[in-house]
Amino acid sequence: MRVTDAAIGDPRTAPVVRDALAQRLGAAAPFLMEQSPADPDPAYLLDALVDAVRRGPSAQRVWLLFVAVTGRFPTSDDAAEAIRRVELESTTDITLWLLDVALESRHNVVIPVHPMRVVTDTVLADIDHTARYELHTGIQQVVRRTVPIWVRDHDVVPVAWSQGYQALRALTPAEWRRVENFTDAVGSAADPDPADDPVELVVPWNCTIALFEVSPPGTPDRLAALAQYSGSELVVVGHDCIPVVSGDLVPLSDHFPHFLSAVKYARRIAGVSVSATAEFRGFADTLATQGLPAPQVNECQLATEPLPAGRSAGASGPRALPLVLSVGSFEPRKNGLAVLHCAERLWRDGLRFELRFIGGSGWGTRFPAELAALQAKGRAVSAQQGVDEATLAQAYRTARFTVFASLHEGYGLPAAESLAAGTPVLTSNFGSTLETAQPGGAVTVDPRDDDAITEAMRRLLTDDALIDRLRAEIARRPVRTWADYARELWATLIEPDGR
Amino acid sequence: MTASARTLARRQLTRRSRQAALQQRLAALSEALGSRGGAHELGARLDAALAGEVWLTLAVLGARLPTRDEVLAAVRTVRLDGAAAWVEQLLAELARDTDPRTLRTVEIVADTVLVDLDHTARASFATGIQRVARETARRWSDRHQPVLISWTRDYTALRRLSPAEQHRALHGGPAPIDAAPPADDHILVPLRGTYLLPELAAEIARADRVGGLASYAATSVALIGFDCVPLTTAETTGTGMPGLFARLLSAVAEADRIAPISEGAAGEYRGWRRMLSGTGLAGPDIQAIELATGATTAGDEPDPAAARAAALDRLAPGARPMVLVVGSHEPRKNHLAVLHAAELLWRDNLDFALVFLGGNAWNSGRFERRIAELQQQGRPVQSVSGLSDELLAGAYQLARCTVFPSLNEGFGLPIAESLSFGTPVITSDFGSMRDIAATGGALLVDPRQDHQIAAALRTLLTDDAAHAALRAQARARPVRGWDEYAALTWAYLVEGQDPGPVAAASNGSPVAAE
Repeated sequence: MRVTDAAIGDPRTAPVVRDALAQRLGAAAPFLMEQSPADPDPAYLLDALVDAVRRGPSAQRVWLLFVAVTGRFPTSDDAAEAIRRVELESTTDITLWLLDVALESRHNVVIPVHPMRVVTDTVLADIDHTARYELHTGIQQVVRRTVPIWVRDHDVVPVAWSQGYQALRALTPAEWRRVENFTDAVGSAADPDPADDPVELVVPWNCTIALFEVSPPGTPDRLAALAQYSGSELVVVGHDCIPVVSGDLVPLSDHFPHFLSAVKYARRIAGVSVSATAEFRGFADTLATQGLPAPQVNECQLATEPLPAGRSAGASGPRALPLVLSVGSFEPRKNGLAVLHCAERLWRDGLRFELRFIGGSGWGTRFPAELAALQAKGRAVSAQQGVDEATLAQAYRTARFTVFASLHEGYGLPAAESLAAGTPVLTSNFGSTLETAQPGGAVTVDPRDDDAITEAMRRLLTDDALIDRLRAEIARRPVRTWADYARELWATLIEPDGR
Repeated sequence: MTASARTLARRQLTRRSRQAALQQRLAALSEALGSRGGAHELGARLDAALAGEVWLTLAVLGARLPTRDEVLAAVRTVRLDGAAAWVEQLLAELARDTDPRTLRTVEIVADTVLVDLDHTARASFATGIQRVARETARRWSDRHQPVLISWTRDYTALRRLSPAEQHRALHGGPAPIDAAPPADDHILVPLRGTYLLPELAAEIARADRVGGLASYAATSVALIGFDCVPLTTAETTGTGMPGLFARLLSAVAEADRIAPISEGAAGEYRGWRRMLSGTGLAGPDIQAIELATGATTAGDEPDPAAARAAALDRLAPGARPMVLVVGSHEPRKNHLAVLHAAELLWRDNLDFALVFLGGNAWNSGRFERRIAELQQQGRPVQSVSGLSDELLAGAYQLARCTVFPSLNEGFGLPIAESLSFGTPVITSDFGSMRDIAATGGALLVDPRQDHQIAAALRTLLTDDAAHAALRAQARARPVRGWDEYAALTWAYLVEGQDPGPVAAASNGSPVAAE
């Protein structure tokens, strides 16, 4: 049963809340008391636990007590206040304050009725978004290809956030299936509120919490408190810092800066590329100014396996026009306007080719408008959204080359995917895309230089020897598997000393 | 005349005015580009144009500074269709455009320094940032006669400050009565020279246009950097600010120079510049120039004796030693830790009065509740808001010590102020706060450790010898004056001269609290 505000005051509510409280206090007791409690009655147990923490206070013990009583991970302010109150107040006053916090409804939150399990000396993988949603872009692909390997090879508990984003919890079986056996179900329903049944909270004690995603709104502050007070540590897969570095290329949002408020307490960060690593190192450099130790930031480059081919949507017969493919969401950062402009210059010069964009959701109006204008002129240009992996794989294989002239990437999956499919890529000459290009098979340009993009596209369209040479380079590129990545990520984040 | 005839006449008048304004702008642009004659010659002149000339053309003919996207789109049109066609198209669009902005006339200011004082000219109150902008710009103005500017109300173009605005920007005070409303119809477009920003450009339209200027114009862009708190300490800033601040930072990614106000602040800006590596941009040159801490303007300092008397009267600490905390009660200032440390000492029977000077602020609810609880328990603690300069000056004199354990500061002004009155300070052992304390007079603590704050406070309340030693250090401390700060920032931001080591000569060392 889920108890909402509406149910407060309902006489049936009290036993549910009390039973859940009793369960949580019982789960915390072995960590807070030396001897097992004399009486399992929750009223007695609550008093005994508060008294025990008061007589042997530590930030870690106060943090766990707070979670057990309230069913929530404390915010930084709540944790600091709890620690100060435990130092100053009587057992009764502390108990009353904790119960008051537990039952407060000023933020319209649900009364927590979750049972909890304390896990010790293990790794929790926070994969909330991938578990709940069908979305399958860069970050979710990393999670789906890495976390199942971690779970198979190590003692790892995958977790998401409870309703209201107040505590970590176990995944439902359906959620874990969505991670482990993801079947490219484009457009199928998401599951943002997995269960009405209380899901078990997972409460870390001397653990490592690995953040694989940009944590959901509302959670970074609880994670910051966890890192500062709970005795567990945070480690982070660092995808990129695009929202704070390229603020002119993204919609206005406070979400990512708030995520950084948790990242700054991380012990270790694994950047997915050379530029993601540099970004997180730059952020780490700022922390001395606020007296915080810098997280250790190391690179652990993503894998580049080819997309699963699946059952191909259409056979690739001989094509009337060579295909130039550009993959990526339709947003200003991807620089699609430059690609359209350069293509138009080449079409005007009499070159004949088809330009196809494949992408997910995006924002901005200028790209669709320019695209429509060129289509109206009869140019062979199109944009597809929501295609499945097999169709995408087919497009990669069919293309003469791909263009990925992004202005800012954490990793730049489309460049790596193109090369993994055996197709040369024209990409940006800095950061992660340069790193991807270096082992061969790519031409790099300054994405802010339309003349350079135009000339590179011209060569790739007209110079068959160049294409052959790039294809030969691709064949010699070392293959990096997701198993390689998962193993190195574990070594980087969890066992940096080869524990 | 019938109503419709009047409308027609007005329309024709407006159309003629628009045409006249456009002719004026076209002539100004042709002169700046060294092109003779009309649109056709201009097109020929621009055919091989660099983005900078496209920026100038858009700014002058369009009578508003273009954004990066607008410049890029125009450059692409020039490449595809030629400059003549682009100019023709632009002029045709402007001729049709009935937006009042098309009535603007443009003055191209070549090889000049423009100082942007938009907020400083509007505000009668003086935040830390406005105080810096005002004191610095006044000295720049006296010495170098730069053009002082603001923005049109829509934040699309630069204009001169009116004389009344100029007075307010440089000297503060309330809005002058009978001031002519600032005119938006005559705007400035810089050609080469330097655009100097000594305040925070916190409007998106303004930031986007500064971004276009920094990326494409032939004008240097240089600014004073106050801090990167919304990026590095987002948990302590109000809703909307972190995202907005990221947008502002992206606008200055292609600026030429930033002068942060402390080494600590410079650490944040340098970290941000390193974060730019994923964009392929090198980022600006960054050199810390530590802020002045001396008296601002001759004559506006409160009389010390009168200030002391006013503070005694208002704060009435009685026989108790007074511990002073200056600053608003936002969480970053860490005032809850001060309350906890004080309570620990009160419980230990130390007798002292605790006074907070500063207003309630974003998310200060917990502080307000806690101070009310302590007052209810009879603790000698009070919070005073709406403080005057006189009360503040008096409080610094009365205080046994001040406590400033902030979690992040671009420059902890209350530390410097307290030391200037010879009053010892307890402050944080990092960033700009440690920088300011480096020349003596302070005890340094980890502000995240309540017990360290309590221990340092105990020392200053009970150890007269230690207190006297810190007082002597504070009195002997060298002070950087505003003249020096203004000279250093001008030399660096405008002339590119390396400011050299930022710290003033040290004649004392900070003492770590045990």
